[in-house]
Amino acid sequence: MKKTFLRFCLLLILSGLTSLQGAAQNVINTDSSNQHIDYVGRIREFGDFPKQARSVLRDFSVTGYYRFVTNYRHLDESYSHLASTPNTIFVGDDSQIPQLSLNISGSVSKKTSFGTDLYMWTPLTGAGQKENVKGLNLGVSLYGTYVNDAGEFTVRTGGINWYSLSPFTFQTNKGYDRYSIFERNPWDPATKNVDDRYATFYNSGAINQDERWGQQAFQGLILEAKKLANGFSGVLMYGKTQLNGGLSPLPNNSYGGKIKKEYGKNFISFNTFNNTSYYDSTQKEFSGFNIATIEFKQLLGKFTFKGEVGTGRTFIKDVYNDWGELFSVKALTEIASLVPVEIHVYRISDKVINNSGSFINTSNDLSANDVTSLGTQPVLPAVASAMVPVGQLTNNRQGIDLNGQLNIGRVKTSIGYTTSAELENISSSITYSHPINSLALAHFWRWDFPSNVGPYNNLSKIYRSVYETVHITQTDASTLLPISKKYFNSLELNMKYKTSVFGKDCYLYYLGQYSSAQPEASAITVFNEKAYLRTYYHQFESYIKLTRSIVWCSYLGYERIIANYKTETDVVTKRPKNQTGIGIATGVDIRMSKNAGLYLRQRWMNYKDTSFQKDRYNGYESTVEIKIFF
Amino acid sequence: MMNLKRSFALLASVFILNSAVAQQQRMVDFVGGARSIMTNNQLLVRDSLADTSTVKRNTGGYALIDLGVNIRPNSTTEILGTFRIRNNYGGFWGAGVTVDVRELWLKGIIGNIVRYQVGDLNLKQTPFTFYNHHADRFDSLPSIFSLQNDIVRYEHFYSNNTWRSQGANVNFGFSFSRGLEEINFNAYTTRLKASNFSTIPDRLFSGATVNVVQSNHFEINYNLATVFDVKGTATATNNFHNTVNTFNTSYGATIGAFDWKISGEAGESNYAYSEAPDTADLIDYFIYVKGEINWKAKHLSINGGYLNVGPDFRSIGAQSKDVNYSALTNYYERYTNSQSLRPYSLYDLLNNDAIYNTEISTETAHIDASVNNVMPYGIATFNRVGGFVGLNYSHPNGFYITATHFKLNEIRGQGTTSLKDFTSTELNACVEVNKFLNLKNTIKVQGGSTYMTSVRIGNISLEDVDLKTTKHQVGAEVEVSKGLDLLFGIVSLSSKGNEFIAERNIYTVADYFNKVEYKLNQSITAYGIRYRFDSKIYICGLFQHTKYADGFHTNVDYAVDQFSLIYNMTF
Repeated sequence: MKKTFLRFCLLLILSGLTSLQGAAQNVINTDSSNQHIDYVGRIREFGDFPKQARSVLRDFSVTGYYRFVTNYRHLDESYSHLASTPNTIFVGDDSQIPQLSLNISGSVSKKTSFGTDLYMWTPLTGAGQKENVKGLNLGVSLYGTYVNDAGEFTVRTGGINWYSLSPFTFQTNKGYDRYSIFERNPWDPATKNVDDRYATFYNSGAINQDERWGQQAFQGLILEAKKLANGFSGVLMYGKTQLNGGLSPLPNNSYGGKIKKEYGKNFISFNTFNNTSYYDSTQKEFSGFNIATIEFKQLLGKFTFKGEVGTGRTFIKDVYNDWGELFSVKALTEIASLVPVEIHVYRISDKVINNSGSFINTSNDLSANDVTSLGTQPVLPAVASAMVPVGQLTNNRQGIDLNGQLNIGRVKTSIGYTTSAELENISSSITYSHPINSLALAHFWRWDFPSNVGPYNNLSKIYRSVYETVHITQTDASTLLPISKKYFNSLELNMKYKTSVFGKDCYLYYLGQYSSAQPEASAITVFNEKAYLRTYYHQFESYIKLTRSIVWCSYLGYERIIANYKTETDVVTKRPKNQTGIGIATGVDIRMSKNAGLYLRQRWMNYKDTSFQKDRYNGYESTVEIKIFF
Repeated sequence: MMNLKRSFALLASVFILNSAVAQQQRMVDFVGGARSIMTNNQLLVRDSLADTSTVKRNTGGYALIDLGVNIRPNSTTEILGTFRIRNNYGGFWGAGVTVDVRELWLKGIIGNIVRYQVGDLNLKQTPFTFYNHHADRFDSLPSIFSLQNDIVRYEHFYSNNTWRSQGANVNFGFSFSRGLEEINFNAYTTRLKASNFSTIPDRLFSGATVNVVQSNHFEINYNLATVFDVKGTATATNNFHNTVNTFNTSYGATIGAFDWKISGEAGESNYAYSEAPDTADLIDYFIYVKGEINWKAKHLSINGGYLNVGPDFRSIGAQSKDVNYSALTNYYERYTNSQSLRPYSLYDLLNNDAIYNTEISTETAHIDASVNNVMPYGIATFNRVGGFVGLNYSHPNGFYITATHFKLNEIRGQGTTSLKDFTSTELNACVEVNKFLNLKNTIKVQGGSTYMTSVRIGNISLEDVDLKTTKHQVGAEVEVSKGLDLLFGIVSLSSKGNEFIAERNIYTVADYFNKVEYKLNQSITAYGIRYRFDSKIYICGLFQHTKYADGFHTNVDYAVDQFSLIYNMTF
């Protein structure tokens, strides 16, 4: 039988074999579940499928950066939780910024694309692969654009997508660009020239920021409509923010949008942002907020008016609180050539809360109500009366800001002034920051963002800085609230000067902030004991371009924080806060090659509160950073 | 965990190293897909006592990218590794993220003659040897229901009636100048189970097809499909095998205005365990013959045939089911105050990939008589004999109609000497209104119905079976502007009557029969809007209202409202 079959095969081959070929050529079938009909029509449909080549991506790119950071810290004197480990080596950045970050994107068609990211981090603990970390920071996003006669429509799904609507609804505070640039941020870009960072700050008043600047993280759906008839455009958002997201199946969602009308160089828009979150699985109890605003920009002669006016409310456990008002209006003009001045008037009711907006919640403690679950990052500022920089808004406050830029010769000066007052007397606490050694102090608590820590349980870490809380003791016996509302003043001065030292470009910067919080209104910062709290911050920086590839950086910071006797006092010394902080630092920026930089920093710090004996530290921190973009 | 790390490391190295190479030599391309789904769901429980235990409203979803790295190191070799990066809805800063390997294969040509593929495969042979029948799938689903159903199919690699397998496949062929046109050979070996070195031996699934093409008119195939345990790979000695040998053929000719075709398949199977009792050795045969006449001028074809699949015919490659009715739904899995398991519904059948699988089972897969009792394993369903007729009408002006009718009965009584009679009548139609009206934008109306009966008049009334299942679907698709569609559809399934469901042991022999009674009414009403960026990319908003009603109140009635936003890309 077998022989017969073999002979038959051989005969076949010899009689007509003309070629050998890969079998089962491209026979394309469609998958049909209708087995009753579609059978045996093409019996060569066997083997492995599909039998045609797949289409490929139109465009695919991988960009990103490698950032190696390591710190060595030595403390001669420190807080108690670090006393037994005065020396610390830390490899990496606990601000969720990985060593290797890949941004992956692809264009599927002319109008559609996707993006994702991957990160990797090796903490160099010696454990090798076991402790290596990897994952996604921003997740997976899909984009698409649809254009027709009506307009241009863009959809973004997935996320995290970085986005903003308007300052009060969905945005972070952009401030007035008065800050120290000595410490590098994880997201700081590499620049073409080694001194671009410092030159840009001098020339334009701000450093280059990445795409997230001013934007909030959002996951879900964002629909944008642009180029609609009569200058209209719009946005619709539905999804989760990092503060009310989480992997829980409960329908904890945020939703909002914008309708905008542009006319000439002006615009007016209606914006809204809302959240509903649930506490219990049966969804009987929920909380959230609504906020709706009108944002505008209007040119009138030499004046530019822009601002936002609206209303908002909160609801907690079936109780819908009253609506509160909020407005922020700025008038900008140039009172003389090269001297632009901006006046800013604002008022935000204590009834308005939106942690995704650019103002800080100081009126309601959401910690008991906040719905957080796995996958969220519950970084919420403290609920207390905050002493904030000029331009940073809080609720339960009204005030006036004045900002100006004065350029005289090579000296460029940015000036900020604010006076503000609480609307309701609802907090007996004041919070303030320690900017001089802020980042080094934040390194005292790695990985987490703890609240009420430190030797007196009054320090809280928020991302890369630390703020402190002081309690007012002159309070009403029944309400435990201060006897009056609090008033705040602040004066800021940022001076920039460019010169040359031995023929080398040299940039000198000074940043001063003088603030006070007191029980009575004042036109300017209160510099005496009438203030509950006074904070004075001075930061001097110099940057000298030694060669085409090296910049020498230096820093001197000094802070004085003085509280009066109407605030808490130490049980031993019976004296209120009296804090002095000094930071002296130096470093170099080295351009190693195109898009690659080496950044060295050495900081000596000395801080003490002469009233509170345990509140002191001194030591130094050394930092090495290598950053390469590709 | 180790796999995850490996996949991640591999993924990263591929990105970093090969993307640069790709830029210069085009040796690397990227294929795959991306998808984002967000859902808002609301469960309504119609219990006598209000359900206060179940989370009624929930949100869910995810965004994912399947990134296939297609590498061609030389002109005859191709490697594909697909990574799945998935981010669950609500996970920020890395929470809810998974990175997996979705598929990996190597293919190439040896000596410009033999094609091979190793790794993940999508395989099929014939409907009686190795074939994914999707027997419980709704045919001709309206477009709106295809959106999520297509995702289920993508997730489980359901295409061309193939089964997802892991192993190797080779094929090659000869061409002839006279006498014969071609002889093609295809062979595969896949692994169904890996040994645990104790109770489970390595179980392989191998097969081969010899395809002889005499001309465009005549072909004949020999097919072998065999599943077997590899001796000595485990301490257990009760080894399994299931071998199926078949011939299938097709002959066609044009006579006058008609294209005639006759085709068919016949073969036998052997299903046994080496240490099982003799009664568990199952040997049987099947015959399938189909004739078809195509009247091209009238766009009409009719067909008819005969089917005889023996009661002991076992072919696990053709009798495995894509639906796993024992699987948990992972979607409102429990409900009512007693938190009982929610019975799956039409929604799950059409949309829920949790109840679908890619595995071939050596045991008889569970069936749901309320969905398909006539041919639950497709035309490879054992213990069926009878005939069928069918009709296809496809007018160029956009009118399509298909109709089939099966009249079958059992060959061997199940628990009785009485035999069941089965009928299945199906009618599907589609009208492309825009073609009739000569409109530019698509306007399509689809509809269909299926009516199935199972009847047995027993020797005593206790044996009687009378089960009727009715499926209806209707839908419409209106393109309001270029690429922008409004979608609508209703699909319903009702089952009334009783049946005895066989409980089969591991040898697939029935050893008990459970009486089940149905009075089920299920439906889904759906509305949607979709924008097609191109043929492979769309975004749509979809609302579906699902109803499940059990007239016997065996399960508590419920309804589910779901709004989903789907953004799907294939590349």
